[in-house]
Amino acid sequence: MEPIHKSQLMDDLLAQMPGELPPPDLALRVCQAVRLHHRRTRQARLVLSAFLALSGLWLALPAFSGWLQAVWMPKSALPLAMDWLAAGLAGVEVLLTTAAAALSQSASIFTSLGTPAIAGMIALAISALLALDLLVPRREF
Amino acid sequence: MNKWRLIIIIWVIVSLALILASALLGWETWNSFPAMIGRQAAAPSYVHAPELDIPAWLSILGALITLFLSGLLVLYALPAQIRRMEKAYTTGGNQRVRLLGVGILSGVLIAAVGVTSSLTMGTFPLMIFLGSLLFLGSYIGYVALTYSLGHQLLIRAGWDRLSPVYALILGTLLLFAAGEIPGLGLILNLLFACLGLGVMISTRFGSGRTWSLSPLFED
Repeated sequence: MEPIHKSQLMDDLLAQMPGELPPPDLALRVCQAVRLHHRRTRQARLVLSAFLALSGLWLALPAFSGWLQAVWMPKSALPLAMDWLAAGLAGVEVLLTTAAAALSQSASIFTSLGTPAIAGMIALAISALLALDLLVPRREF
Repeated sequence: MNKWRLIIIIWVIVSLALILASALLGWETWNSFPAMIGRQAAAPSYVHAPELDIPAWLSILGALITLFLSGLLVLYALPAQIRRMEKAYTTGGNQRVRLLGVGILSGVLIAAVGVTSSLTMGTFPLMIFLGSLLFLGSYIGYVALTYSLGHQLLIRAGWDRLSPVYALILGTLLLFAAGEIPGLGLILNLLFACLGLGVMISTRFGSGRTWSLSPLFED
């Protein structure tokens, strides 16, 4: 008598099992579930983005409205260019002094802004990132 | 005569008149905002050189020529990218609103990251890098916008056989003149910059590829 191979036995047993066809609407249900998941994710992102944008504006706007009022634009960029050129020609020391002045200016800006405005900026950045993910086209040009 | 040819001619005459008026009357587009809210801003403390009294007409002429020549450089340097950006601008539906939205949000994101990066010395150079990215992105997108406007108008007028340089000249003239309108010009310039940044981000810097992390999953 020939020994029965294990895999043969397994094949026979599987063949004897009652056949179970996948339900005819399985593909449709899978598609619907994926679409629903996608829609829920979008809605959640949209809500989170809107919340972060509003809270970011609420935190940052009071400090930044001062900036907007103090916006200064020279009639021509020549004075600034001449400043930079003069600093460059005068050597490293003056260049470093100018850089230090710019840094101290930056520090004074932050002192005037305060922590809530910076927190607001961070909230705005995250909100913009979430909204961008929804807006950026997913097709090639 | 083609209706669009007439529209282009009238639009160019109006634009030239606007530029001339701005040059003669010395309209200040950029400083109109503080003036509008009744406040004259002073120069920051780190500006040492005195304000130069350059005639308005020279300043405007210089800006127009600089915009056109640098736009021409961009056109020659990145023709395929500009073509893709034009395609993005001219795609119908609410595409332009979407581009504007992408531009505004990208501007907010880059500005916020730039400002917060200057909190520590280690990330401070990022502020300069991101500022440059914001400016260059908006500028190249703006060039694509001027070319796209000029090209679309020339196509409608039946002058589509002309060199792309004419499209750039036309677009630059029309958009520059719109930006010279007092009060409204500032808003329009911001709008153009946001559209420019939006198209740059949407076309992934003119490459036409999509923003996706899928290459990270590939073996």
